[in-house]
Amino acid sequence: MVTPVYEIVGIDGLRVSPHRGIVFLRDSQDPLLNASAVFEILGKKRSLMVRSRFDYWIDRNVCDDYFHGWPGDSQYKGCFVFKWKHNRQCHRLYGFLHHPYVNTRRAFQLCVLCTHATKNQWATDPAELAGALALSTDRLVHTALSMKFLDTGP
Amino acid sequence: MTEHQKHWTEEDVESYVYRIAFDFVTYVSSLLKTGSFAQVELAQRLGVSEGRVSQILNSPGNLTLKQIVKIARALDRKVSIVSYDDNDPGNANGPIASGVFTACWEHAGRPVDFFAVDACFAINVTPTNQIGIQSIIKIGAEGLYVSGQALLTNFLVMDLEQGQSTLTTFAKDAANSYSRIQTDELSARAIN
Repeated sequence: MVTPVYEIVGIDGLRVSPHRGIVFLRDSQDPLLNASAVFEILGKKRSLMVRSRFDYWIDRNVCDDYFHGWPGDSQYKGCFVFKWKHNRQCHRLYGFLHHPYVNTRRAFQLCVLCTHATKNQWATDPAELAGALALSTDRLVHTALSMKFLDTGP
Repeated sequence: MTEHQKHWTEEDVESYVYRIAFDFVTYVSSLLKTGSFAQVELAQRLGVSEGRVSQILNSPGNLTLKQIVKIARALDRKVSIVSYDDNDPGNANGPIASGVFTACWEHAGRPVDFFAVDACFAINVTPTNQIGIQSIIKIGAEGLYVSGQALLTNFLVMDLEQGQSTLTTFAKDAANSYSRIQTDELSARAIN
């Protein structure tokens, strides 16, 4: 079994907020971690839509039609999804919420997007959440995140 | 991630227009979703089909200023264009969401002109006798509100422009639990 080589990829042009950020988790050998790849090939209009929704979350707006977590679900409360519709198909970017600066900026919240899925129904596939949950506790993922977000004081 | 990159709305005008129009359609969608207005009602007022309303809301990048005004008025709302300096000349952070301006305006008591703006921001009122009270003080264009046990009757009224302060006592209302003082009166007291 090949050891995954996780990479944390920032999103060009996304606002750097002291409160929230969004990144992609990528592994060049794992085609299932496709959120980044799908985002990169979005057409102009779709890209503007998704980026606007990213901004909206970073600004601490609330809109379940665009994104949401599962705070009431004890198992998947750390999971998160961004959503949009195109040609009557539901698109989702699944990931998890993470606090990379537990020592220096505890309140900073990072959304780590991992997988893309399309659906013809609005309901969530638990398998996608289970995948995001597994990644959120993966030691190698945490290592990749801590290398990208150095949690050291001045 | 670099701290000095340009926000994606800096790529071209189309991107910037999309972002600010997105705020508007999201606001409209929220009104429709919360039941303030039905989509069919909006469609009727605009003289278009419901499908066309959906189409408009799904294509914020194609909205014209005229359409935005039409939609806002159809929803009994108004719309303003706000230009501002947020100390970000290179646009590293993107536009400030219109909801932030709305929230600040509402927080300031919805001032409708510069008289009301002056009344809101030129005065700072500090309660001086808070004896076991859970009180809320709000200064708006309409006046000063005090809620709680209404033991709060003395206020240090400061004119921030003049740097002067006056200890002022306000009357309680008949119910002894709620007091309202006109902002004009408050302003006059502060300045005099």
